[in-house]
Amino acid sequence: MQRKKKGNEFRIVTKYRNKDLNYTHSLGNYRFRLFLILVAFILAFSLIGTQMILMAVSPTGEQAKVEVTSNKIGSRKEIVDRNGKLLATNIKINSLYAHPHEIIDKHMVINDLARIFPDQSLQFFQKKLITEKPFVWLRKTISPKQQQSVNDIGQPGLYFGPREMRVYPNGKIASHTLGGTRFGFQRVDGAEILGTAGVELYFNEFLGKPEDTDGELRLSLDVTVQALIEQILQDGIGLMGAKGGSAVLMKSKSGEIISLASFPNFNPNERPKNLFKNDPASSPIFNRAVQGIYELGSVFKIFPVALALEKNLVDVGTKVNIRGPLKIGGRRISDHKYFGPELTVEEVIVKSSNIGTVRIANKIGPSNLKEFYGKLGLLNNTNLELSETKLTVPQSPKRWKKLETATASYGHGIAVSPIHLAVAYSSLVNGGYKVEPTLVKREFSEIRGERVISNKTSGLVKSLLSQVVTEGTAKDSNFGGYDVGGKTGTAEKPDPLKGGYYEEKVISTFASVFPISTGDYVLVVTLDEPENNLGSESFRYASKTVVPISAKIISRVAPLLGLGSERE
Amino acid sequence: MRVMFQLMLFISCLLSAVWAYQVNYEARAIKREIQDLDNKIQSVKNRINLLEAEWAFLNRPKRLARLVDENFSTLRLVPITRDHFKDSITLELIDAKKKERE
Repeated sequence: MQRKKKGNEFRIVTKYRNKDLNYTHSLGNYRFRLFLILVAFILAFSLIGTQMILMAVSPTGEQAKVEVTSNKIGSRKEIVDRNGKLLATNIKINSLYAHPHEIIDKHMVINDLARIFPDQSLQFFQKKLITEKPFVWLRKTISPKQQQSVNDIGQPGLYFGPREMRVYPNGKIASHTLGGTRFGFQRVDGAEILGTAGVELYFNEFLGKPEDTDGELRLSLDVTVQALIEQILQDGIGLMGAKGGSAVLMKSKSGEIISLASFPNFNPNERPKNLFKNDPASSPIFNRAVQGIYELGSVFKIFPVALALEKNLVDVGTKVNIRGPLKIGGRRISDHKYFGPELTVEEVIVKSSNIGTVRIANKIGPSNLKEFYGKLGLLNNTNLELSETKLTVPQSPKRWKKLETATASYGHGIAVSPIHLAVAYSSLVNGGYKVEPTLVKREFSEIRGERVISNKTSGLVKSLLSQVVTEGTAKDSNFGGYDVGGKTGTAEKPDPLKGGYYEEKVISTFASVFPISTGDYVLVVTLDEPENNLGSESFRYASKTVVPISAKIISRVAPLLGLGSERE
Repeated sequence: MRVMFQLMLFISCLLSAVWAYQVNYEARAIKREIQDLDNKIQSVKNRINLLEAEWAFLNRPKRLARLVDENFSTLRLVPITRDHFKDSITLELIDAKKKERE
């Protein structure tokens, strides 16, 4: 028993011993662990410390985030004219939204809202507010006065969100160039503004860029000139009973467009929705100067003549046989009156003889004329910075045979926009080099492209155009003492239903250059279906319709452009 | 010695903690102030923007043309024409004539 006990004791002792051994061993272990914990704490505290210092020094994450988002929405860049006058800007207003479930007296709210916003029906607000949805938009924009009225309803659940709205302070002026905007994605704290047409759409990315909000888009337009031209054009269209019209004023040496007008026009602050389906040209948002493709008639005659002069095939005094009518490819080409058996090249332009022009074009040959039209930019879209430009392709004959060359020489069978015409005339009178039309203000007053004709030919063209005004088809108008050159054109409109041309409906065009000595400005005015009934007879010819309007524009606009001080 | 060292470490640790907290809160206060100022700047900018838009609206060519017409009796403003441009010699002659009359 004792032995047993002893044995037990012994065992116990050994156990103790073992434990003792274990204890000393684990004591060393604890020291190591303490050290580990110390290191861990030091690391943790230094981490917290640095984090604290970092937080104190740099902006906290949350706040920085708020700043970025508040900058990101809104603040679309302003659009200004060449002198810095405001054309488009943003103002802060509010939007109205609701949490329908929070509204206590829905019936009252619906009635009051319908009273405050008379343009919306009672049913509209009923549909919006009697719903299970937790959130509904009520108005994209509301005025401060309307906001006060909504506040006065005194019901919960109606909320205002800040919002920027695009405004065009000049109203209808330059409406087609500016285009318009709409709201993109909407949030309670703002909405994205997107361009829908014109420069607003073309430069949408640049205007809407959230990072540099300080820039602006400076157009080449001059808002004073633009307003004046629009006024004169509108009065003229009214006087002539025309369906519409357009005017393009361009600096021939830089391609900058000073004014681009089209009638009927619209207010970009309330842009009409879409083009009319059946007849897009009668819609106010249709830009006649850019989208309107017309056969412009006799204004083209200067092109083959310029090329013939350039190639030394003729000079201004060369006699041209104008006995007619000409028969080419089954088509009769005649003049609108009998000018005698022959005219000089100069007289062909001054009197606007179709037969004479065709005979000159025949000397040039189809491929040369086509190449020249291409150089003048009459066969392709322009690169004008408007969203509409891309969609507007001039129409020209697919194959240039004898007939096509003949009709193209006097502006038939080839349809271009007034902008195309302004560009082509600019190239002829600016000393003979190609220009790109632009709506953005340029740094330099002269930007030379590829040479189209020589400087000498350019001078001859200017003198021909000048004679049209002094003794030809445009001689009856008063240009306010300015020396002007130009060429008229009256073209019958094609009849889309019957084919062929209308007899009574014409497009009248006057392409003019002033002052003729320098050829600095090109003005192209077109009228759609004008009729001058002011005298005892009625006239549709350009000389009685579009020329007097152009003359008024030049006599009023040229002084604004600073022309006239160089008077001899 | 060892105790002193540890005490000093402890105190400096405490002090730096207090300092860090203070700096942190000061920085936050400044941050808030900057935010307030930014907001103020933004609202002033908005106001300038609004006034500029209003100015452009009031100076729109149509309104100016109407005002010129309405106030013709006092202002006698007429459209500028080529004849309004005179060279310096003519201007001197006109000046001389005026002086003669006086």
